[in-house]
Amino acid sequence: MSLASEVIRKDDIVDDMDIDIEIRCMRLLALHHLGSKDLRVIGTALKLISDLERIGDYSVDIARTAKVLAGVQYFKPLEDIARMAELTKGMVRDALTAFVRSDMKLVYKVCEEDANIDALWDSLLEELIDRMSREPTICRQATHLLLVARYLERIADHATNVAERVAYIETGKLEQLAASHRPT
Amino acid sequence: MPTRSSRFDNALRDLQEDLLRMASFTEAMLDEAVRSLTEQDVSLASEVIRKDDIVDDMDIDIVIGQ
Repeated sequence: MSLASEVIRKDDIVDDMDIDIEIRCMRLLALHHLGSKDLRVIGTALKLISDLERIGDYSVDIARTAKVLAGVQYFKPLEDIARMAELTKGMVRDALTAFVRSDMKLVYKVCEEDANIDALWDSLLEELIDRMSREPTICRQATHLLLVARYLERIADHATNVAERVAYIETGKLEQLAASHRPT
Repeated sequence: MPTRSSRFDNALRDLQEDLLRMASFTEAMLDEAVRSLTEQDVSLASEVIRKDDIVDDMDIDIVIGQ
């Protein structure tokens, strides 16, 4: 099976799961007299589907940028964006695992990792602003790449939201655990 | 005859497994999107874009229809 067909197959499965999971959450809410913790679990599951959907949307935004930039010669290797993507994927995976296993260690890991993503974003932003001020011809490409980095930073925030919800399930308190989520 | 609580526990466990599967598919989408950018692969990018509309439509259906 080609890679393209593989992507199509996965997409269809995600769509089906989205509906299926939401309906089952509603059914659980309707049919069972749930305690407060179970209610928090189901409420979190419903929010989590939205977070995953948003991550899918940002992936589409990144794919759209890929089409825009397909013909250009990159003015720099995209190592930092690849690095941000790797870290972000790990955060999404860890946040979901934290939810399923009620694993507070993973919750804190995700919240700490968010600071690393923010640092990568800040550094890329500074670097590209500096390059653009010296080489105006790269502005168009650099702006698109900055948007991609911003999408990745937002995906990391969605993963962090999920992690903070897992803490909420356990403690009943909704707190901003990631440094970047706390008011300064 | 299962009690209500064990029925709930089973349903919840199934739900969590499916959420994990959904997450790993979403992760794959993200991975492919970033690869389509770094490798400048337009056809891979198109495949990621293709399905976007469906999800939103289905959400509306669920909220209104259930």
